[in-house]
Amino acid sequence: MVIYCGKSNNNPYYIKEADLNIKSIQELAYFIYNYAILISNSFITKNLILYIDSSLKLPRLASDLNEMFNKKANLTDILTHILANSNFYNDEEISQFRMKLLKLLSLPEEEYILRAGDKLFQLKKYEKAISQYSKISKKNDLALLRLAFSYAKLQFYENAANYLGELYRRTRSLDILKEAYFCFKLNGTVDRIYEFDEHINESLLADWEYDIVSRIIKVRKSDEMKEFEDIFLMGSSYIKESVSSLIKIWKEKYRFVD
Amino acid sequence: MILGLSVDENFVYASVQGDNKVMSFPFAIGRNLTSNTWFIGDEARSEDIDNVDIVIDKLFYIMSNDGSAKIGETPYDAKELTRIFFSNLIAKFTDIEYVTVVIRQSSIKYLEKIKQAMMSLFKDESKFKVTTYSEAFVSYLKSKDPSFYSNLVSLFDFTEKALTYYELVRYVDDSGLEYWKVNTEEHLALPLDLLSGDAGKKVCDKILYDFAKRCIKEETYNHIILSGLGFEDSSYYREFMTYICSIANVETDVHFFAKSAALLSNDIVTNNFDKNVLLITDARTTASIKFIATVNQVNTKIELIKPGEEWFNLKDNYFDVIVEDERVIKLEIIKVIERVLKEVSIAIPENVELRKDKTNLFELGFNFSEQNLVYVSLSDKGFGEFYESSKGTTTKRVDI
Repeated sequence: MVIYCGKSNNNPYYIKEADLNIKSIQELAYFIYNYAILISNSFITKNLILYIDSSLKLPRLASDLNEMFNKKANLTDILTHILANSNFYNDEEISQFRMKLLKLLSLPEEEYILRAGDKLFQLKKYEKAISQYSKISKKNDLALLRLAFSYAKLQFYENAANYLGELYRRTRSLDILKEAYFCFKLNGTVDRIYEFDEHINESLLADWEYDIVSRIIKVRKSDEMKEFEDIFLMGSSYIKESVSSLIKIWKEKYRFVD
Repeated sequence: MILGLSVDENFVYASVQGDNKVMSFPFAIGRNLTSNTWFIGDEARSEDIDNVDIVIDKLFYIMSNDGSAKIGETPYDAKELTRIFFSNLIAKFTDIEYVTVVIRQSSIKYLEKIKQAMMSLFKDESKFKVTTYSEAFVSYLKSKDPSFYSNLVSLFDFTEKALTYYELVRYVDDSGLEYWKVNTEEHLALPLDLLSGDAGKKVCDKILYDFAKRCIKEETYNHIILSGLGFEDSSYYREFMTYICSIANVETDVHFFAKSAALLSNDIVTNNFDKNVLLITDARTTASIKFIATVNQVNTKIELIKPGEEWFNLKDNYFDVIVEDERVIKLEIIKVIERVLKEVSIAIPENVELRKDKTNLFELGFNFSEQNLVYVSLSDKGFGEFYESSKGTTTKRVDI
């Protein structure tokens, strides 16, 4: 199937909720469909309606939205109307979206924030993700872990290491401590690891050093960095299991690499 | 002032709308290195060569070869020389409201260069047009009473480098749409030098007669027009003239295309175009290019290129398409007059993997390099800020 989108529009619309620009009705629909968790009532503005009218050249949709906006229509109805007129999603997908939206709205607040953070992380909007994870990181280990990784992504390794250290204090997971060690190493303050555990033995550190070298080689050699990131986006038990198996694979693979 | 210019290999002719006089400028350019002044046409040739002046009288040849010429110590390319020539020519006229430049060749290399030259002068495409002789021929016919072209009208143009035949054919299709199609046929080079001797004149007459016999159909003609310097001296083409006079009314206008270019300028200024007439000339697309795509969940046949558009002026012929599950896009090309259907497929770039969530956005582009030759391209655009483009592109040459 081929969807005809007409001639390109080069005028972007900035979505502040996700710090990104869209340039077509299809991109707007895709954002709504996949990142609905980031959308609040303030998403539908007069500016967005004007953009749909003048830049995307969809006056009928703009007029509908204007009417819905003035009548203070339900956000779900407005979003669904955009999807239905996006020349992108079919009726079945739109009804799935409605159900997905209902499920999202029924999520506990903490879970909702965590998922919003994950979506921003997925979009590589790490500053925005940090602001979400920070809201719940004091009581949610996963949010704290992802907060640390968001800082690492921004190359604020000291912040990342501190949050990982804090998480280690909560979980006592050596895998987490190792990540903190890695971040301190990248920050050039490796000795700070002892602030979080003064009893780390030399052979463990040697193992971690070896792993770090392996990781660097691997990252430089392949796209598997993404695999590593993906693991950390999953649950904590999954992290432990996956990181262990991944490290085992890396060890075997790079044991004889100079 | 509404101006028409016709360009051939040796001359540029200028005609002001409403004025029967035509000015001719040899297609030559010169520069006085002492005074640092440019000259064109006869003025360039009259400059004293011994006084370190440089004259290039093969400007058209330089244009056709994308060549260059060194003047003083400075090399000038064809584009720049064309710009200087037209800049000096246009400067000879004041208060120009609109100018149309017509050229025999429907080749992008000439049309583009002249267009660029005009663009640098006027800075605005609404002030000028560059097109082919065929379009001027149509404007001339439109300026006449419809009885003038109720049957066929044809034209022979005999210049230094070419003998060309033009014929207007009109059709009405089943839907009531009227087509005006200008057919052209070109004879091999027939140098005007031949006319310098009696033997050559006889040969020319014979060639003209044979060419006319070949081009003229067994149908009714109202008028036959003779244009170009080759028809200036009417004493030599007796056999040819006897033959065409037996078919239609014959009129001779050596500077037909310059005057008709002025008429075309006037048509543009007054928007004298009939929307119910589809014009097909060598300056226009001859086919419709369509493809089947989904629009609001309905499979629809979409016309991307329409027939009758000026193919060398088609700039914005790029379209965004999202490909979901097929690795080719199928295009349908229908020649409007012949009603011939041709199917062409363009493949998705090999390095592009199709994602499952309809996020493979491509730019489908059509670049005409000749009237019936288009390069169709399909370029991966990624999908906004969600997916980066792989930069993959495929291009396919399509002969219409």
